[in-house]
Amino acid sequence: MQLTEKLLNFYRENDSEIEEKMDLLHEKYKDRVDPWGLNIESLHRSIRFLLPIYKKYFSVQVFGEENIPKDESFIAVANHSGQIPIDGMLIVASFIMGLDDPIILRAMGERFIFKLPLLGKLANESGTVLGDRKNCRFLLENDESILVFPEGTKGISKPTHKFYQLQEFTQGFYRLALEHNKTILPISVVGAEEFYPYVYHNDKIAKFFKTPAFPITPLFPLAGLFGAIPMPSQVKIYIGEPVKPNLNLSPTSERDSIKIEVDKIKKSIQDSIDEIRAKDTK
Amino acid sequence: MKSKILLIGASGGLAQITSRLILKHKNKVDIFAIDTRSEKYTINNKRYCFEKVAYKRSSFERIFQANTFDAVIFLSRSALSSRDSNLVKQRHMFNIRGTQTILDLCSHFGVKKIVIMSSFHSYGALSDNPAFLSEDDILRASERYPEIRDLVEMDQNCLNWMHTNASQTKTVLLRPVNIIGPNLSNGITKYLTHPFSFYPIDYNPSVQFIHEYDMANILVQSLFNDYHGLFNVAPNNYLSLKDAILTVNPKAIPMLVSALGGVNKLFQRYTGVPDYLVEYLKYPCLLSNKKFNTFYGDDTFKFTTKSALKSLRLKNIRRILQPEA
Repeated sequence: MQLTEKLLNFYRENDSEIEEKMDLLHEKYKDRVDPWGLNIESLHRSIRFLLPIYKKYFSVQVFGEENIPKDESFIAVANHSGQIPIDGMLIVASFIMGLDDPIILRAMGERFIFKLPLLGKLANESGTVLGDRKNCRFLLENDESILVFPEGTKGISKPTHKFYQLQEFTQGFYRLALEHNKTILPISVVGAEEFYPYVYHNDKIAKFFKTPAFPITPLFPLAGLFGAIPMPSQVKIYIGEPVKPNLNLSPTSERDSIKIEVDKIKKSIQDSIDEIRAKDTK
Repeated sequence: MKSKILLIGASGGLAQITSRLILKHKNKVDIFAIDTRSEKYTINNKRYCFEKVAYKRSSFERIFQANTFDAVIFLSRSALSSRDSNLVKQRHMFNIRGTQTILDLCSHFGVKKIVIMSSFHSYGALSDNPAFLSEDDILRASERYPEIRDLVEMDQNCLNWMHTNASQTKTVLLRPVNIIGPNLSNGITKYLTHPFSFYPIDYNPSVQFIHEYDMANILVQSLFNDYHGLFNVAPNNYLSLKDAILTVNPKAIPMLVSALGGVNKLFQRYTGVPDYLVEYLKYPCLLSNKKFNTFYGDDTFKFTTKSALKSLRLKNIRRILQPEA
């Protein structure tokens, strides 16, 4: 009873804020039919469901909003962590709920998600798009901002001893930034690795279930789906300073030249993560 | 100067509209129309001749020897949908060998123009399809639906033939998205107009539709303009599958796709909706129309997606192609 009352109170307090943001998004996206099925009504429902989790369960804190480019679309590049892509949802929610002028970041999702009934549909309706270079191109050409995780599944499915160690970044996002002359916005997420503090990965089980990874925690799969509920770890999202692509390079430049630039972005994200964690430890 | 066109697959609704458009707007064009089926609605015009033929090499040879064709419109394709090996074989023979025979004869008799209609189905509806597939994308339909592998093969054969014979024949290969209209009885039209139509609740891909009249118009344009090449045919707008189905039938029933597959199998005899089409209700297969718009212009489509869908509400009430008095 107490929990229901708390939830109702939470909605009473936050409903006007959600409505206000959604009105702005409705205005921005009216008359637009999205090829992937982005649906503001459905996004509204998702945000309403997610907000208590966002604000109370994960107590998300966002820093560096002033770094978000105004009046131009951009490529947001974030570290991926937490075994399940909750970090992506929290970043997308922060760009809607945390900004005066909300932005729907079009997150690039893993192919596997879109095969799943209902989940794939919900992901699409909330703005997630299959992570494919053609899709990114289309979105950038249409002035939409995208969110990419260049570590891919290697980033999200790290075992405990690799927590907060950024994995190799793919180069696609940088080539796209060059191709469309878009600003890159580095985003560092801290706190998501603690959703499941102890994780072991078994590739054979993942292969058997045809999933990109299969995390085993002290509670999952032992306690079933209940064991998959993430721990209430506080999440900090730091939006770094925007980076302009090096226009001396071209989208078809050699891998080594692109890698130098990509590694600079990776380092800036890693540095921010280390800095936030160091402050937290103090 | 008078010219003569061979229209293959003339009994279908689309072919009938195309014939009427040609006869109405081109005074010096004669049409020799053939089909394995009987003529559905008679076209009473001195410049139109229909013949029911068996799709055999000998029949085609006889027709090509007796007539001089300036152009060929090839709309014929067997749409039997089954994983039954005999039916697959029959369909394969019809679509692959039949098409190859016609192409061979066109090349032998020096036909100057060919318009071939393939389908967007050849790209395949797959979960990892990017939005807006272009003409350069791989045809992946056979990855999942062996029953339509002949469509992919036929498309590729036509493409090869087009390149090999480019110096002699101008060929237009069209890959249109869903063609719908009150005069058609293809799978998607049947699905949309079925009194007990369903919409999936667990998937909702975006879909594109072309009205039958627009498609017929595009076929005519392809025939009489100096185009040569492969074109995706898709309008500029698209909408979600749920919206599309509810536009035609506001009382459509929500259902899980997994159940829909089973229900469709059960009532397939009555609905005529092929199995593979259910996959197109799950995953997206949107086509890019960039190349098409460059050649044909972006004002080719007179019907919006919504108005094309609304025209299906008339399906059981009034048909445009009434037998002429």
